Amino acid sequence: MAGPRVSPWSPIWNRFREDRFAVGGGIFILLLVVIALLAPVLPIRNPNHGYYELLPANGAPLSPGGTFLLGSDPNGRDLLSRIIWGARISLFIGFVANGLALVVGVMVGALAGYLRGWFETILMRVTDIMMAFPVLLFSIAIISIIERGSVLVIVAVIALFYWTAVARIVRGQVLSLKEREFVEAGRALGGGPQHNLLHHILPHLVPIIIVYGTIGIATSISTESILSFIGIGVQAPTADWGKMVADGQDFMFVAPWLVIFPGLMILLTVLAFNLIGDGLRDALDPRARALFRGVIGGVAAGSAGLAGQRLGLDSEAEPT
Amino acid sequence: MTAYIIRRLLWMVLVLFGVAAITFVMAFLVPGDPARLYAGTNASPAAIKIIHHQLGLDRPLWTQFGDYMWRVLHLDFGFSYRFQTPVLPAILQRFPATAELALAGVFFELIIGLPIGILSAIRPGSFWDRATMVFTFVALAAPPFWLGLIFLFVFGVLLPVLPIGGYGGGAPQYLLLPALTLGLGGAAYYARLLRASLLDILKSDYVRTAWAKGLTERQVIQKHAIPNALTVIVSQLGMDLGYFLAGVVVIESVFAWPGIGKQAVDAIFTLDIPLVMGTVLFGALLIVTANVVVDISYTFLDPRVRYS
Amino acid sequence: MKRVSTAAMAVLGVGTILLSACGNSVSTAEGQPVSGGTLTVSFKDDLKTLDPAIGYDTDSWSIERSIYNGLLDYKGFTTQLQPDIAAAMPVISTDGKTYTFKIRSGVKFSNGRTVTADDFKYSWERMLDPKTAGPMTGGPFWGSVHGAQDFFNGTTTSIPGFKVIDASTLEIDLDSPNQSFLNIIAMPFGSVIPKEAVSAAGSDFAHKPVGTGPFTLDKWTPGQLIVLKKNPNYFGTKPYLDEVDAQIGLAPEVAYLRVQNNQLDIAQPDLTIPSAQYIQLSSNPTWKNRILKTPNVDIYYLAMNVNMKPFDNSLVRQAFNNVVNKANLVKILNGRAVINNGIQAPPMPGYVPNYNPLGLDANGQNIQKAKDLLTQAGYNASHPFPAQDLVYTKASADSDRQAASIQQDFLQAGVTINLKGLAFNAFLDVTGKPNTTALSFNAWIQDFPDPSDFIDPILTCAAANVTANGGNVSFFCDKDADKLADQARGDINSAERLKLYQQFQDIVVTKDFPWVPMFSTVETNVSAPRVHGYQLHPVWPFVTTSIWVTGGAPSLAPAPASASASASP
Repeated sequence: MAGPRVSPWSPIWNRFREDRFAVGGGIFILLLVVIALLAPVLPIRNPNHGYYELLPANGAPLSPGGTFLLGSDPNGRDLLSRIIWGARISLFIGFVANGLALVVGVMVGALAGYLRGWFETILMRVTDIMMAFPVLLFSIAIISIIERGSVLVIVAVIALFYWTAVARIVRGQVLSLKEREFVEAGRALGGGPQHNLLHHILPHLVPIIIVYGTIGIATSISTESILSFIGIGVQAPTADWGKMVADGQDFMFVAPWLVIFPGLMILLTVLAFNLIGDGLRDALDPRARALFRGVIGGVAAGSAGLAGQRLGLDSEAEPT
Repeated sequence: MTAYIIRRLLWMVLVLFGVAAITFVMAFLVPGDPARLYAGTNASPAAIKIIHHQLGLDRPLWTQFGDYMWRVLHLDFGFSYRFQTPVLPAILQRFPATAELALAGVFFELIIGLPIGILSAIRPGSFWDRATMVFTFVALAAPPFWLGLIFLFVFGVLLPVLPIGGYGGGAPQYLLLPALTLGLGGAAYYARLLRASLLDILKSDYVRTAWAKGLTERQVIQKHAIPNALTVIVSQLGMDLGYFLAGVVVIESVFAWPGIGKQAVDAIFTLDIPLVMGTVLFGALLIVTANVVVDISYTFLDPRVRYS
Repeated sequence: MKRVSTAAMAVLGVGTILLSACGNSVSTAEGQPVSGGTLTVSFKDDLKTLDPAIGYDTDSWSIERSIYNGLLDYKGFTTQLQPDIAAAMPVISTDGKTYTFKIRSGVKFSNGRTVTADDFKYSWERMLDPKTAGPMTGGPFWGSVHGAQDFFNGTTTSIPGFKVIDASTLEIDLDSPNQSFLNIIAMPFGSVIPKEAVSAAGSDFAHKPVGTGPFTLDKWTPGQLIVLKKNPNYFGTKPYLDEVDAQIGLAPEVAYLRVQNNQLDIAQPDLTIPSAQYIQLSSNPTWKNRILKTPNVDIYYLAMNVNMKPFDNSLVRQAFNNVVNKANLVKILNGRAVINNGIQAPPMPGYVPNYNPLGLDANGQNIQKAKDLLTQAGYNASHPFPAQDLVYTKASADSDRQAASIQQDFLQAGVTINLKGLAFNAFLDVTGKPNTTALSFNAWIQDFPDPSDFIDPILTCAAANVTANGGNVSFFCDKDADKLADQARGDINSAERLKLYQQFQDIVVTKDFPWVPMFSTVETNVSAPRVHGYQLHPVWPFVTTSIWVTGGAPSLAPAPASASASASP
């Protein structure tokens, strides 16, 4: 008599549920996504409209509490609305840039690791060159050439640098997977290289893709905030968290809420994705800690604008 | 061994060539006539024509490229449009400030990250360990520019114990906040890295043998665990230094620290293309050098890791 | 002064011969001047140059005024000219084309050599030489000097219009009379420099300046510090100060906080107080009264390129003149501006007060009229008005905020505006080139306090007829208006002259609409309590000769808690 079917995902889900931080992060992101998607229909003010008539004669921004829950900026715009609408930008860039980088990185990295030869060598050289660039400066330079920053430009720039790191990690994974017995067995059974790749190797990449995907969103959002802060992100008057901090800088001592709230949102969002990613890592394969050791911290490190540059530098994840 | 070193050096040259080529192409793509940008906002057409010729802009692209590569090889990175002085000396003049900041940043990374990482590895699951995890997560998620601004506000205005940005001629209180902000993220990273490495090592066979042989906890940790974990740290450190030196753009901007990062950002917004490209090239040079130095020293440190 | 990047440029408003000298709100009861001491100031960015042939920014001019002199200067803090190195005001021929100057004897360069007429000819030819690549080459100010055009083109190597009669007599010949020529000579471009110092400096005179001024450049560490020291050979009234130290690269928040804590004497003398700091200072009871204010001679406006669609239709231009909420723009500047619907600035001679010929409301708007005019021009639901890029320069944070406000105003009128903020040199490039930019947000600040300065370089046909770097960014060219400008330029009857300029203004504002004039600004700054005699000059960004200090030098250590607490909001 057959027993009840147990999905292979339930132990993973159960393990994930035990990590309260990860679950907390998950709830936060869920709420954020819902609010961001619903923003156009929520009863909040137009984020781009300046209520100049409510400002005093000397143009001082309104403090939180009162007409505006989180206060206003010097243009009389509602900070709360802007934060909600800013979530749309950050989430969009996070998902899309990261997704793009993953797709390209996994494809290229898997092929390089599986086929080896000149394809792999070219990949290695190209990624070497990409990684030699001081990323932040280079992206700023790129965008200054294009003259006008925008969401799509930022997505392209982030994806441009991030895919190299993904490719290298994936390549490393594929290399070690190739030597494993089940792949030998697959070949012995007569499956061609394509079959091998798709059916035996790719499935084993899924955990790392999932974890990378989640944490990569955090890195993308972090990088995007830095680029917007420097001033090459979305154009005024669109609300964007990084840009809001940059705009609020000058008024820091007079209206600190302009800096505190948007920055806090970036922190919480990045934190939430990191926690989820960490939880997923544990849930997916608690024995594989060593594999991911360098990944979490490295991928999440946005410090000093190095976002992305610590990726794939964990020498132990990179067999030659 | 020497073959490996030579190979790495060749790699370095190749990569730098690639970087220089891409940099040249980008400089070429910038809209606006470089001669006009160089001549300044009000120069007459006659003056612009003269400068156009002086800068060699009327020659074919390949010639300009070759000329550019040749000059770069001789460490001539061109002339800054804004300051009308050679680029490389301008960068080198600002570089010590960035180097100072980078070293101080690394110092904070280590002095905060290492003890925290070690302690939480020795006492996994304890309150201290959990506090560390919280700290590392938050520190890694906080946008560095935001953290810097908050620090400035709290320590510069609310409790005015530290100066609000600037260089202060090298006085240490000016270095404190930017270096701390810079190092905090790295500290969190190292803490976690060290913790994970140590935990693995502490579970490994040869450490268990050491326990069995009767060594004390302190001896095991000191003689076996830490040195091995540190090799991982050292390799990261080298890269970190390279990246920091390449221009800690955001921190320098927030704290008005007069290093090459801030100089590059200012240059970008005044469209001083040679200075921007020169900084990118210079930064790449530092990163690549750091990489190679770390790789080579790694082979000395860890005989198991001799790449072919 | 050229189209300038920021709402915060500190070239200052004008009291004219008719109006009284500026409304500085500093009591004159400052006590007796004290000699000696060092003044510490700060600059946000490093100076680009101290070469008087090149410097055209308030930061360069701030220091240049202290190390150079020319034939003429402004008297005290007025807009009246008086002789400086000249022994007396020049003898001007009856046709207005010849100026003869006598040079004071015994004026020495800081290297000890006496100044002669040859030095002026040398300095001015160098200033106008295409090889020097300065902004005056090919421009309108010196263009009417006899032989200048050939010199600009490179066909001659000297300018016959500058004639050295003898060692102490200089004659200038113009091809056509220009009533503002004396103002032109008084600009820093007219400063005299010694030839031997230029040769000795190689190509770096910009960093190794030598002049005749009250101070000399003692040290310039790029990006960090500029030190001026008193010039013992100075021919004029000696300054009170022994030394001026300028710290470079200090961020505004830091600089103003230091001033409040007595750690810095004057912050950013070349710029106005930034918005946030102004809000802070003006709400602080101690500091509110220390703020100096002076109206600027400037005009901020939107320029519409009359040669590009859709602005080639004058109905569209007229419509645009009814849209902008100018009161909000003033609010964004913390009230440090006045609405201006014309092309002249309030302190200028001939300014028409309450000028509002289009009947705009108190905010400067008439949205309904704008919509009607656009409909009249043929735009409606099926043929909507095309979205426009508003090009502006991001050099000042205020301009970002103001651009956002303008964008919002146009939305009310049914027009979509996209903001395009550019670096300053890119901005000048694209706006100065014909057929490139349709709509831009500009500022024009005086070179000298005369209406011709607001017309000749930016609203004449000659100014429109350029291939690059034009000042006439609307490319406006009206033959009738031009005739008025030509007539006014040489007109000796000043009342008649001013009337002609007013008629020019009427044509621009009520007939052709190449601009949307918006506002003129008010300059502000403060100084630490130990500073006395600091006043805002109508033309120069920073005058050091009237300043003296009392008490000890400011320290740079962070202030004790109590002083800062009073400074926070």
